Amino acid sequence: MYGLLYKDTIIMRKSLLPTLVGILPVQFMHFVGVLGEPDVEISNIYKMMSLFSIICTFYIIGMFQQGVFEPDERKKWAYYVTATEGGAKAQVGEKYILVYLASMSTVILCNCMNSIAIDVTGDKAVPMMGITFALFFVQMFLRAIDIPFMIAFGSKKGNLLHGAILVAGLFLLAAYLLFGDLSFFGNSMDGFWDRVFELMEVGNNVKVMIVLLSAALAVMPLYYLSYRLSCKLYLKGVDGYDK
Amino acid sequence: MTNKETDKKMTIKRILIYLILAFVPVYIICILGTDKDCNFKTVFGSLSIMWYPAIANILTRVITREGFEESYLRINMKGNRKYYLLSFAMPLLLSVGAGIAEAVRAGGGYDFSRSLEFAGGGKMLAASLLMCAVVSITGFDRGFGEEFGWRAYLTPKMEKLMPTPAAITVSGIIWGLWHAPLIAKGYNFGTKVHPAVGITAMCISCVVLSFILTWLTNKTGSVYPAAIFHIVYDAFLSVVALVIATGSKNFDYERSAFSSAMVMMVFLPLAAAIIIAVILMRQQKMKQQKA
Repeated sequence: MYGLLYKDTIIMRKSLLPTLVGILPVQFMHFVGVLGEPDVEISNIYKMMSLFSIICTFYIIGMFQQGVFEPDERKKWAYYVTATEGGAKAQVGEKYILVYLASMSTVILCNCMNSIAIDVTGDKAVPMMGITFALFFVQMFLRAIDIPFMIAFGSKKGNLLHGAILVAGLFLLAAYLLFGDLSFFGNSMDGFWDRVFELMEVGNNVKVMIVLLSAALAVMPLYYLSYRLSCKLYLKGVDGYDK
Repeated sequence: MTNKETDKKMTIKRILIYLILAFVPVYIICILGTDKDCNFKTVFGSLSIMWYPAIANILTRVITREGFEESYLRINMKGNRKYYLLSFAMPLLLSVGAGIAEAVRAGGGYDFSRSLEFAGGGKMLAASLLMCAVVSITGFDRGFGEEFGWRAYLTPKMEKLMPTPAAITVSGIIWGLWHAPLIAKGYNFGTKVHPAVGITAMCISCVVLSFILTWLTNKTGSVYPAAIFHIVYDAFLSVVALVIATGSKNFDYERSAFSSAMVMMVFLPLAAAIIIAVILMRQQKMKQQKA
């Protein structure tokens, strides 16, 4: 498995460089606080900039993660690697490890830059570690769903199919918002946002905290189950490869 | 000079470089970067402090052109699942055991409603435990940071110079001394005892834990079970043990921080290490009898 990991690191070197070039300028948004004395409004802008930088970083890394499957989508390679000692489990497991490492590295990078920004700018920068960890779990959850699709149908078809399911889901949500019962949201936009901000006060709402923490905890077992499922789907997916 | 002597000199050189790289940044952060109440003055300091042993491992290998053989980075899950499970279960059991032991030490009867009150109610207790579990996942880099240095580099190097038990003891003492600036400011063992007493207690605690962590590392040939054990232990011990111990009517952490820490961090891990040693000796004896 480690040989495969080494192989992929070498192959992904070329896409790693543009990824880093994309991430680093975005990360400097954490330091926007050094520009001046904050009043309340400006302080909110600093918060938004930090949040934007973290979301962008996870997005860029997400694209990198989706690209790790493509280089190995050749029938010859797939049958060869299945015949080796580790078999399909090693091939699929290595991809899962690579994806996990990419997400974990993103967490470390974002937290490092955020903490350095706080140390450099004093109170002007805002601690964003909680949001970084939340996005880590969201990304792991999305990959746990993405990867089996990419394994079963190839990365291009898998992404298309996954995208189609996502769009269908959004249509359903939009239909519900247009015609469904919205009394839960307070029947007005103001009521909706009041409700959202109330729920966002996680510290004051233990139930929400328990639900969010349980959801976060469930992500890692889900990721493991996704790996087991992908192992089963691997050889079926190989039949659909173009080359 | 024979090859053996050259190897020995090289190993000593590597250990020294590793120790300088692991100790210097941490001592600078802990001495200059914390106030008298042991609070970190910089966020990056508190975030990064557990990474330095791992950074020292990597840098030493690069500086001395050692390469990354015997890096203990392989997962080696096959045949080792039970050790991975143990690395989750043992720190949880130790945390519960530490709380019970401390409650027994404090005496004066037990009332679990005091524990619930201390935790802020049943829901808050559930949320705190879930938070500990989440921290065990998100803080994995920190557990790995320390273990990749102490268990995956220093201890194997020490084993080349001396027998395994001595190597574990020496690296445990070094690991304890690595914590010294924080302990001297009252971290873990409080400020009511002389700093030297706290540091000595920390060294004993680290030696005992070092036996358990090295056992996990050597059994699996991988650093990950030790890293999991370390971060789960760090995340759960203070919360679980304190919540359980607070049920004891005489328990007062402010008053008895040192004795509580001794029970939770020294005596209980020691008992666990002894139990593991006894089990291992019995297994070995049975194998010999069969042979």
